[in-house]
Amino acid sequence: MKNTTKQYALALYETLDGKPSGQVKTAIKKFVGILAGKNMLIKADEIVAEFVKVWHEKNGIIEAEAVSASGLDKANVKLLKKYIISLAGAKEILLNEKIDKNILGGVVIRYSDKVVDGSLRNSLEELRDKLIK
Amino acid sequence: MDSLIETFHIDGRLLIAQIVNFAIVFAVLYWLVFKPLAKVMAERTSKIAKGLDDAKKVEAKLVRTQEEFNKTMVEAKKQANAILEKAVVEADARKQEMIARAKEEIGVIINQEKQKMQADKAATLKEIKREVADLVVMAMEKVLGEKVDEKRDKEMIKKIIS
Repeated sequence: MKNTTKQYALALYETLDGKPSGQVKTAIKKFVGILAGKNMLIKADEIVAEFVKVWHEKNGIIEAEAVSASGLDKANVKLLKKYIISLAGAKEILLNEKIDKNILGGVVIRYSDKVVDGSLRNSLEELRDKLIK
Repeated sequence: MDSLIETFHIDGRLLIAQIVNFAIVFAVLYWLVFKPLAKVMAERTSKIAKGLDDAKKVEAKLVRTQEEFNKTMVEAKKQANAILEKAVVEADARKQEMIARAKEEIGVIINQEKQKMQADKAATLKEIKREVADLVVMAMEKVLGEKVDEKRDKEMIKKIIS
């Protein structure tokens, strides 16, 4: 039976987990050799993407996106990471910042499959809904 | 007696002959005329009596027929009246039913129209509300666009996540 990309990613994670940095390179080379032997190098990108997911999952790392109208300063980024950690129960946050003038102000946070919309645009939409009801 | 015979010049033999003649004529007439005539008369009388009797019977039958006809007519009239009354009652019931149905249909139509009017009213109201909301949001957007600068935005973000 043919292994899936997720199974390769899990195998790679188990191989690398807990290894000292000196042995990591050797293990990766060996893994690439196995992929080449099984003609799976074509799926290398997918396996790496899966590995990153597995790595984040196992180490409590969450990727998040913060959208603001005028950018975030360092203090706010720090507060934001702390806020998302408290919300998601993660150990570490990889924050991806985006600027979107259309949200007018405030911030929109997206992590995992959740969205915390603290934008002025959202407040205005809520106001519009209340006025219509 | 002799004087009488002499007075009237009655000849005894002639008289006897005449009597015999008369008897013969009578007998001939009796056998040839009177008896058949009597028979014919009797038959005729019988026929007339029978005819009269038949006429009486016919009359009686006619009377009975008339009575039966009258009875039948009375019965027919009764039945006709009953049918007419029934027809009138049924027509009245049908009329009442039609009126009730018409009222019901009118009620349904009125309710439908009321509902339609209410729906139209609600739709119009919703449209007005939507337009007002759009105007308010547009005005707010404009005001916020002018009033929220970078500093205020950062303060706002800080408040949201703190």
